[in-house]
Amino acid sequence: MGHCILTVDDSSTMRQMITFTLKGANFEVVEAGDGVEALEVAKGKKLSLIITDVNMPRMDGITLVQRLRALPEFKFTPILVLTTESDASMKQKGKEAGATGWIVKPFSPEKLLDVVNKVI
Amino acid sequence: MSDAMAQFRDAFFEEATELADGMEATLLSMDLSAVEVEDLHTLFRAAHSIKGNAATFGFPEVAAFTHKLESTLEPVRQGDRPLTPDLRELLLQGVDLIRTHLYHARRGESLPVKEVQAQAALIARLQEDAGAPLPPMPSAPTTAAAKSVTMKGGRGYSIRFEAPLDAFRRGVNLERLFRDLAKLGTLQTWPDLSRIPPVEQLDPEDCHLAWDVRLETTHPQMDVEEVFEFVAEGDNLRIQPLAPEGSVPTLGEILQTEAGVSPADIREALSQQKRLGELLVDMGKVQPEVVNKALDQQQKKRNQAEASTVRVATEKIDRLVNLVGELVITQAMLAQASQQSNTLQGEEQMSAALLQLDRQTRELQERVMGIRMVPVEMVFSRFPRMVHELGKQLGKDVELLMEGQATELDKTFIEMLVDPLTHLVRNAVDHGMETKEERRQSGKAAMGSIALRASSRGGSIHIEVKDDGKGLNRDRIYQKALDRGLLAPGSRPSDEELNLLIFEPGFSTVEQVSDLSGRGVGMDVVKQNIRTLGGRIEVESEPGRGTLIRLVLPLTLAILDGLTVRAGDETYVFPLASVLESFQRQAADVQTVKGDREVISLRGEFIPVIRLQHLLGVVGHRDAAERTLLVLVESEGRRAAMSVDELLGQQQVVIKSLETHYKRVEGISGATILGDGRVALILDVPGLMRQEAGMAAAGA
Repeated sequence: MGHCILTVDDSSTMRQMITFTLKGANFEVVEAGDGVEALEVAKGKKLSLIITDVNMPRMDGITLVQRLRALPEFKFTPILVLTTESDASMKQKGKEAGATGWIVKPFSPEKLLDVVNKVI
Repeated sequence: MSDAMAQFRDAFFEEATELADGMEATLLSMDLSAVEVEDLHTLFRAAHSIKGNAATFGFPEVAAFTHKLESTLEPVRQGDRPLTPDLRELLLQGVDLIRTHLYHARRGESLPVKEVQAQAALIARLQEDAGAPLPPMPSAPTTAAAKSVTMKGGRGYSIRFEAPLDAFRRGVNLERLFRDLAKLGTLQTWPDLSRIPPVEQLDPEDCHLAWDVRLETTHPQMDVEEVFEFVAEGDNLRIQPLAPEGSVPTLGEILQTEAGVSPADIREALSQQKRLGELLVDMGKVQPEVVNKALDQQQKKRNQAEASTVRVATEKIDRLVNLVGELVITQAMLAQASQQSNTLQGEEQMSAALLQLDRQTRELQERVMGIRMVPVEMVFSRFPRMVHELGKQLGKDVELLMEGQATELDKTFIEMLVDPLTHLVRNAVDHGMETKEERRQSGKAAMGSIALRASSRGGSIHIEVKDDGKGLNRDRIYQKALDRGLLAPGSRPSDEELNLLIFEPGFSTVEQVSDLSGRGVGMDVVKQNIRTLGGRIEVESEPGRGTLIRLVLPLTLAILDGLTVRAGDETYVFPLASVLESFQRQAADVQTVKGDREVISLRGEFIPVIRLQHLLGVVGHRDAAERTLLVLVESEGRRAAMSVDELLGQQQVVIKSLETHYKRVEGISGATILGDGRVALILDVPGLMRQEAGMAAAGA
């Protein structure tokens, strides 16, 4: 207990699904609708994990990862990016930006928890 | 490793080898000035499949290397990078390296240092050419996950993992990784700190850690790979299955598990160990070339041992299984019919079942034979590359044309044909073909051509190697034969006889034996192998126009559809394939020409009549005019009407070679044993026609 996870996605349905699953597994969850909002939400928080979508308005997920890594408090925090099957290169881009790993969409709640448990 | 897994692996190796062969064939057939996009896609797909499968079946080194090729091909396929002749060479080398990888992976060996260096050099050149580094391999493709469901794990794995440099900066929890691994089974780890640089060069945020891990587990390899999903890149993760239960462990393995010696130390010790050949060379006991030759020989033996399996399409096997099922039903029908054999119904049932049995037996026979038949392409496929390389080495422009690759031959034949054909093709390029300069002078196209043709002719298979080079120098052959005492002084051999002398042991008219053709087997081996197969060699050569060497191979294992006929007191079999029709002879249709030659006018065409009895010297023949049956046959575009005394029927016969038991007889391709135990000769229609033509010429 005690892990707080930030989930960033412009699709509220996706955010709800992730939040619902994580809360069901006793994680604390905070949400953000894009990169800019995510940086604001994250500020001053002790986060165990950040899960972010890639394609978002205002600030995309890759930029968000780079910005987070530049902040001392998130330098070593696990970050997962949500990628799609069709865009395999996104895994690589995420990695280069400093992401810990990825979750390929579409995913099941079980898969989500599997991956989360892999990095926390 | 379980049997099931081993089977999958075999399938993987076979498929990967085929894919590599396909890549090579595609590369060689491409016209670089007008590249077909579909070819590029084919190349890419092949590389992609090898990579994906290699990763799935636990050969990360193969996967990592193939991935480099795939990445090279990606911009080419997208039209962002031209396929230059240089790049083609590099890709061809890449295909070779894939094969080398597969070869070693199949034996559970890692790539020899020499090859690793070659690989590194090749990758460097590919990158240099591309101007940008190739991306490292992403983790195992997701499609592999679905396949792994059916795969069972073995005893466990030996894992080498080098953490990526940016592991810390990416928030990777390495401890978590080992916890997840430990969940899969019993874990033993040896950290390897040797990659950590001296303190003054050390960036504490870089990760230089590596581990050797021994994991005893029954989980499939995919599960292990999944643990490393986010940190596997390029070849920093190597997973090898542990040797199967009951096999003798290596000394290194025992020292590792029992004495805790680290795998890194063992690797280093092994790298200092010298091979037998090197030691002997160092001791000055043998020359390096001798060792290389011995290694080649060993390799050959190894290949032979491997070639003793045959790959059969599943449909062929399915059909066999179905047939056996049908046979069981027929047997039941027969059993039932025999119980009421005295009734009319029983009798009918019996004959119906027998008819069915006849059909099924025949089909079974054919299909079982079919299993051993493989397309001649298996041999042919190696030649485009060989001709390409030879041409390059010798500075000759040579194109290779191939025909009839689908012609099927017994597998034994295919294996025995490799050496002779290799030699013939090599010879054609090296000796048969002139240099560009010579060709220009004699007014020929600069590009020479070599044709490889396979075809099925009646009872035999013809394989031809034809070049449009300078042709055989018969004067020189004659002189050489005199020198070597192969011909008596003053003898006057025919052209054909002279041509065939090139297959005599130690016979070479080339003053300077080049290092290409002068090596390994000589032309006499060609003759030997073909003779072993019960075949013969024919040579046609025209000065300045080229040489055609034809290997005529019998189908000793074949079943032949035949038409049995009676001529005099003898029974003969015509291969049904060469029979067009049979009809009653009308005296008015036959005309006599040139004394005693007969021709028959059939639908406006004059066809020579061949009197079989006369030709074969059969006794007990009646007067020609009384024979009223003609069998119209065709071979090599020519027709003839063979007169016989009686048509006995149509049946399948098993061909037995006459040559092995007696000797070669002109006009006869073999013999068979009939249902009543008597021997009938199988007629060689083209041979008979030649014989008849010869007699006609002699008579005229």
